[in-house]
Amino acid sequence: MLYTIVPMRFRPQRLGTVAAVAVLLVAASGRPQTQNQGGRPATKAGRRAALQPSGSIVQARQLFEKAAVLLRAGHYSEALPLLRQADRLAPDQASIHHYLGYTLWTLNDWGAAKAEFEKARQLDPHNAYTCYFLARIAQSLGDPKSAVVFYEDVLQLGPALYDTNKRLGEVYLDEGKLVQARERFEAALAETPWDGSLYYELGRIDQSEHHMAQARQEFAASSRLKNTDQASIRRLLQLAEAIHSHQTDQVHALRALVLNTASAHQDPEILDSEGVLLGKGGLYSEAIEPFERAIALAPNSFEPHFNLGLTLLKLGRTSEAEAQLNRALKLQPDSPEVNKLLAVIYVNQNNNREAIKRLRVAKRAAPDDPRILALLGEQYLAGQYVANAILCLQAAIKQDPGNLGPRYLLIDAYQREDNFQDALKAAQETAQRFPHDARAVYEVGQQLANIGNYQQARPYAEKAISMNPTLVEPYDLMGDILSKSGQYKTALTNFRKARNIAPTNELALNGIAESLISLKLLAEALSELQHAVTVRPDDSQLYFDLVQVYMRLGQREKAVQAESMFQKLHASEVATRNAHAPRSYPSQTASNGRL
Amino acid sequence: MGLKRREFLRRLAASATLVGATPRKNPAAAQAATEADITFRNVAAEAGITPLIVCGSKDKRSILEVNGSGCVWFDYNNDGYVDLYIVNGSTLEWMLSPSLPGEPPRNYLYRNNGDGTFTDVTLQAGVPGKGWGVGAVAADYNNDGFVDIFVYNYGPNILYRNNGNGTFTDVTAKAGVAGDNIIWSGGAAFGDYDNDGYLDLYVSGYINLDLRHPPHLHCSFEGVPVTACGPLGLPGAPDALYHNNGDGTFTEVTAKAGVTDSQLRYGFAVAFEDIDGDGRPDILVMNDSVPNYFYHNKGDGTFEEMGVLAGMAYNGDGHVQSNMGLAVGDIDNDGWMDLFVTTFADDNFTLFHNVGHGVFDDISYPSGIGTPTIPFQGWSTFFLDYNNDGWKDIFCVEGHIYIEALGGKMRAPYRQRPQIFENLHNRRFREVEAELGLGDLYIPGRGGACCDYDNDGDLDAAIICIDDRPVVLRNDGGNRAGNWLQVKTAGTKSNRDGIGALVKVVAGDLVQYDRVRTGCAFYSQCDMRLHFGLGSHQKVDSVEIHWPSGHVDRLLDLAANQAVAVREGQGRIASPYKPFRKKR
Repeated sequence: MLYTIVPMRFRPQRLGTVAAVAVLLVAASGRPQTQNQGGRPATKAGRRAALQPSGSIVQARQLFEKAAVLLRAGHYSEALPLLRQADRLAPDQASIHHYLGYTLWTLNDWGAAKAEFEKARQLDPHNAYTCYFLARIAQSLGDPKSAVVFYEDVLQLGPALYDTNKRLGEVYLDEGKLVQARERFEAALAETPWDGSLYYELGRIDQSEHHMAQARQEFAASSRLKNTDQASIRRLLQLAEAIHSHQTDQVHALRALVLNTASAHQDPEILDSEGVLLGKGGLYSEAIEPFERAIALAPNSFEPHFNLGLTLLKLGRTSEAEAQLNRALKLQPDSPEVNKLLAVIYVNQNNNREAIKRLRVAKRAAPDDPRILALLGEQYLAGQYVANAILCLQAAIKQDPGNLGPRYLLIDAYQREDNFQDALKAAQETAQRFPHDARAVYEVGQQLANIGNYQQARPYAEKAISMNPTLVEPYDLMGDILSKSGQYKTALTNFRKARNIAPTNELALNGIAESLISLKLLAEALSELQHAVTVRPDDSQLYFDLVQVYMRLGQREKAVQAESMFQKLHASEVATRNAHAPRSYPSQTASNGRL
Repeated sequence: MGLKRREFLRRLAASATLVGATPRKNPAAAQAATEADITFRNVAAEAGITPLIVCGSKDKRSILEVNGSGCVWFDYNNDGYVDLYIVNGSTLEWMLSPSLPGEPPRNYLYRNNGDGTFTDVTLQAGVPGKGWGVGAVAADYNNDGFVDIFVYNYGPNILYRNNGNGTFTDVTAKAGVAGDNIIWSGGAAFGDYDNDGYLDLYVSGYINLDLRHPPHLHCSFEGVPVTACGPLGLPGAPDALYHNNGDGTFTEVTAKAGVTDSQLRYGFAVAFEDIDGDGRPDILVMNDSVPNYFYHNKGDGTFEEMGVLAGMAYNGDGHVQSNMGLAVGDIDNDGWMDLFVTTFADDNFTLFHNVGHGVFDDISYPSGIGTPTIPFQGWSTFFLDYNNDGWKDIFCVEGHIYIEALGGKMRAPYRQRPQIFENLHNRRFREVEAELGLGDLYIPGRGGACCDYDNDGDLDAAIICIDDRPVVLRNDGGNRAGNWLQVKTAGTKSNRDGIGALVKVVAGDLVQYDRVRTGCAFYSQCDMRLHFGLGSHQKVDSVEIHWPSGHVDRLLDLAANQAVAVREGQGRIASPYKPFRKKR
């Protein structure tokens, strides 16, 4: 399920430039603190440095600490020689290079700063702060491609730092990549609800996409925010902080304050923002009232309708959410967000047809939105529109190569059309990009097994097991590989491990029975199967195995009974499979291939 | 000059024996010592077997155009040289407009001249077939001593009675075996299911395909859209069992015998075989994309279907396969007949080991056959002991079904080489066709059957290629690799061909079993003469023939390297087989 890819799109308002400055100040003071400081260095080089004898390191650390004090006091020029000295003593210390980069950056020596940040990144590629500054420098030097790469890396490495989303949005916008730009600005709005300039940028995107009505709304919001009384904004900011720090009493008090300000009574934006802040803080029940009041004040405003729908959905009030979101849909029929959310509701209702319909609308509005593409791909797959699913998922991966979900779906789609070669390629690409993901490694093995390369598959199964011993599939794969080579005892061990992790796992239960049959341990096989059919009473394969056991035990009558169950269940499975044969969307042409 | 690897291995094996280092049998070493001399060579052109086989258009718009056709080895004129009958397809144009100018495609009967050449005698023999030919089986259905031929088609099937003078007569109408309700037959076999001495006939129906209203299906394979989709979704054709009345006529007894193909499965290869050792021939039907049938003969003229119970309706994983060809034989010389089945591409061919009394284990993977067969599309298949070591090897005819595989768009190519698996004597096999000179033989294979057509003591093979010329593979060296014995049966109380007779051959510690049978393979049939490799054994201790009638004939102390003929109740008679003459 890709339900989680649907974003929370709360859109509060700007709280003024003061807050933005404050954020930057916080950022500046936090900058020298690299994520790995005090922890284990992330790279081999880092590990080597950590193992060096202490003499020069101790001296370097002392210099580094002195420089940090100077930096915090804003004495950048004085800190610089200390850091250079520290660097000479401990050239493999990522944090020293990072500090050097930062110091040079503040002194506007971008070229030198870039070189230091690059060294720091080489030594510690997981430092999001280093990436951020490399992105900033690239942006300043007019290198949008590098800027995008670095900003995206920041997002990959953890929660967005500082104004990454906004800056990345700007770069995308300059590059004409409107979908990505919109996505980033909206993410930025969720972080800095007081920033009216984000509404302005969104308005520009709407304008470029000829969504004039929406653009007008965005510009109006931007303009209104500029004129909103600063008291309300400050109180909203305080409310945000209280929510963030879970100060419940303060939240209630501040809510009262916000609502008592004069503008709040008349300003749906303030009310909407309050609802958004509450929603973001997980206070969904509390968020309903401000949204409803916002809707009462501005019944044709899309945002409160949408946000109320989303809030209701979060509260599990699905039918109310659906109605509310349909109201929002009437106001903005092409809105990717509302279509996407409605699609999620339909997905959960197993209403595949409606989900696809909504997602196709969403895709029209945002053709490059990787989340919509992924969700639509998933729904196509669920509806057996395999070829459509493949195209969608390929596009989703192209747009968002860092998301594993669509990659697994794509592998599944290829498998469904027996295209194991492409499934293998997709698995290999995934494993190459995510070498530490056990499932990605397992998938390579599984696809190799699917094309009969069992021996090549084996190391992948073994590696996946060692990477994540709680993942069931690699054990099943390992069992299968061993069975195929006649090593039934070890196959049995693996299938049993799989069953220990997932007691109802179909492959494990079948594998155990079949291994025992091959080992001629018929009584044990019978006992296992008799238990297994209670766990999975609708599994035809288990009855097939039962037939084989009874026949080998000479119990023909029982075999016939088991066969009868097998035939019944198998017929039902075949009917289901035929009903879900791969097809094309929208024409419902039946596939009568050998697939 | 250094030794070639094979020569080195041969010497190594020889020296090991001398020093007594390995008293146990070492199949790999033995193989290395013998196989260097064995090659299969395509001699079709020099034999004069060069007809272009037709099967629809080049772009293959329909499933009818992709399955090709088959062949039968049988000695139609009893001259001691086994002849070859080749079935030819047709085109949609010929089928829809029979009055088109020119000669429509026809079948071919090639008379074996006994010198390595063949002569096309189709027209004088009167066996050109009609319409779109698919396959054929040959047997002496009227017990007159001359082998007849049943040709099955897309369209009415044909029974040609052998007149004994080099000609045949179409007796289909009188015999009542046209199969009017079977539009497209997929396989056939003769066998005497009620042991009355007359051969009955089972015909499997494939698809009731309406050429005038062909289905417009959309499917893909390995992600590539293809035009000639498989049978699923199309109306299946019924199977039929014809009881031989002994007077030249047959009665369809399908329903009475309990072999009604009620689910209209897509039938291909058929065999009569006593799978459970109860002395009664059962019926096996391989089905495409749906489960196989195993009709157990209850001995009262009726059958019960027990494919699932026997473990051969599906593969060992309980998954349905697209079964095409069938080989029946005893791979481990334990007296129980095992099955080998070819399947669709991207699926392994399946080796079912008969563990006794008609229960099968799928040993495809442990046997070493599963993995190497996965990419390929298998068609005809048969057991043949090509190296005369007394253990049945496996021959598979292959070629991709989808013309779209041309140009490397699919995992396996359109033209594929046959696969041969050498029996390593322990229910394990290894792929050897490249070592036998077939590494470069890439062909669009379909039908195929084996026969020692040159009577030199090793088994040869013919392959029918779709839209191409046949391949005749002469085994050169098999007769030097091991000794051999061939057994030809002639029934008296049992049917004249002795079909269904179980033959046990004992040579020292080597004990083998085989049965005289028709059908199997795919659209094709091997020579009914049984061939036993003897390895290094110079003589045969005993040959037992267990006739369908229940009578047993025994021959003792036979020299190796000869063909013996046995008449039921009379023992050994003169062999009809003659050595090849020098080429004229």
